[in-house]
Amino acid sequence: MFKYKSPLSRLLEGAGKPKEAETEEATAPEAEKPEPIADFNALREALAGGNMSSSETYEDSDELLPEDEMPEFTEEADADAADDTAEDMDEIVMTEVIAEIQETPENEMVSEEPEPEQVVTLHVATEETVVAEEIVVVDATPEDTVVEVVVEEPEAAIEEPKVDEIKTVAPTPAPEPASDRRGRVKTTFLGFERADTHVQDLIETAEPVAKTEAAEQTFPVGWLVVTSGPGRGTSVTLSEGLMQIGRNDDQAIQLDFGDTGISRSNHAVIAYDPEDRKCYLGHGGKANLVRLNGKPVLSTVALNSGDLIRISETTVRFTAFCDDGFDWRDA
Amino acid sequence: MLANPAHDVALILDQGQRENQEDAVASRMFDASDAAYVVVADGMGGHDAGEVAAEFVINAWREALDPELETKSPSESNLIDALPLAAMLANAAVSNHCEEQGQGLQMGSTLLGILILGRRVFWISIGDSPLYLYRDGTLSQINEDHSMAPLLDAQVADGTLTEDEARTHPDRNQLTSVIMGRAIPKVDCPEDPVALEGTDVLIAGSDGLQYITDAEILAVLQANSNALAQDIADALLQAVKAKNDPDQDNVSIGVVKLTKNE
Repeated sequence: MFKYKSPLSRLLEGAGKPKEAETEEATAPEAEKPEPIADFNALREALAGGNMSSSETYEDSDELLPEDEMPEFTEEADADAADDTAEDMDEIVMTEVIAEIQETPENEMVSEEPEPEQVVTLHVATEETVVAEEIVVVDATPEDTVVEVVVEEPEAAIEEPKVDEIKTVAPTPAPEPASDRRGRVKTTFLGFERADTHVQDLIETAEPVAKTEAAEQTFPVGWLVVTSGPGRGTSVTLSEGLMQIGRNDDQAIQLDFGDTGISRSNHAVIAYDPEDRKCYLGHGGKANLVRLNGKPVLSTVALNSGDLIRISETTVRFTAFCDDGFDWRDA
Repeated sequence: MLANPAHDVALILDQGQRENQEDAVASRMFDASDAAYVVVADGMGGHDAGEVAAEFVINAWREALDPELETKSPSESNLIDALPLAAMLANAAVSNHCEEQGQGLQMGSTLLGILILGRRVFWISIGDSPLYLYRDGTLSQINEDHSMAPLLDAQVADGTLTEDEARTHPDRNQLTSVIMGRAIPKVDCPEDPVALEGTDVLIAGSDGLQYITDAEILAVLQANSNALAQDIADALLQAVKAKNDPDQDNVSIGVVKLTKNE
């Protein structure tokens, strides 16, 4: 119907590789990939201490607490409080996170049936750990057991680091002293010191992440990562050939996370042109809208790293791998 | 039905000195949803091809927008999406037609579609049909001009061309983007609308309107700023006719004002 997208296919013929093979190759890994990668993100976020600084909900308000609201806590009282709080919070957070991990299609949805094998919480653990640790330092006497919030049971991956939600949950059960303490500690510590101990804790306490199953030779030319909408946090490896974007499982770039505004098949296409070492985006030929950085895509356009592609309610961010500096043909 | 229209809209279509009328315009107002649109298509191509192409554009626009606008409470995101969809439909229609006719038939058309929701003006523009905004006594073209003109004018600014050379350059009216059943290299379709103010006047035209200069258009508006849309459109056409250009192209003029000045 739409003749004007043909430049894409022409472009592909020049790519020198059979489309079919490419497309299948690409489909396979994509299906299994999300977990390890998401986990890596979670790990990184935890390592960076990002989840502490990026929190909006309770930490911000804590900072506003006047100093004089500080209770004078005795060592025991405080340690107890810390103990309780940390444990409480930990449990709650855990269940919340477990529940959340089950979700697949809708990010925001906290779903019901927890599957037993999935789970985990690298960054939840670290967050709690930090809280506990801070207490100790404030008191200057790490008298009883620092609450080592080691999350033992779980070791799998976090499907998606929903930092915000986790935190919103956490403070609720926390008794008053906890928040006061946190407010105080925050002003006392330097960010990077905290981050250091963070890492140390992680290394000592966290379970090693399972080997990724996606370690295949995919010869990527770039990646797409869903940055907003259903499926947020999912990444897709782009390889050579004509890659169709759609919800069906025969789509090289399958975006089937609940956004039904995306066509089943061929909503849009991405293809790598080895000639100028760029990926190109085109609409799929039906009356389906694709926007690139806000502008409707009416013909084939070159993609640059950081470009945002919006299809229905889903936004994916493009990152190039092959470019002027590298192409698989070089080696 | 239109007891209290929010918009005052007028259209004029004039053949000029040409043998064919290759422009097409359409407008509708939707009282219930406080919406209105104006669409201008300036067709080109041998024989009757220009008319046909312009008609495809108007039909595609209506096909994309009317059904949603006719519903009781149109979805705003569907309406905004309908703008580029109209362009895609039009391009597909032209493409199919050329294929059916064969023999390397070439036809094309600009698309200037303006959708006004309340006071917010959304548009899609492909080609060189101008969209002007008259506000506070000044006139500005608010859509992109997909012809060589801006590039030539840039060369004037660079000093590589004189103003005269640029104005009379043979490629000046060469389009850099158009609906002709192929890839559409450029599309102007801003995400954020322009907000109309009480006394603003929007003028959508085909390039036949530009046989008078922007300064002349401005003079007409300054003299008629409180007039009804119909009178402004008429005054613009009279100004074009007064030029008496033997080569006068088809002229389309669409004028939109808000009915409430507050």
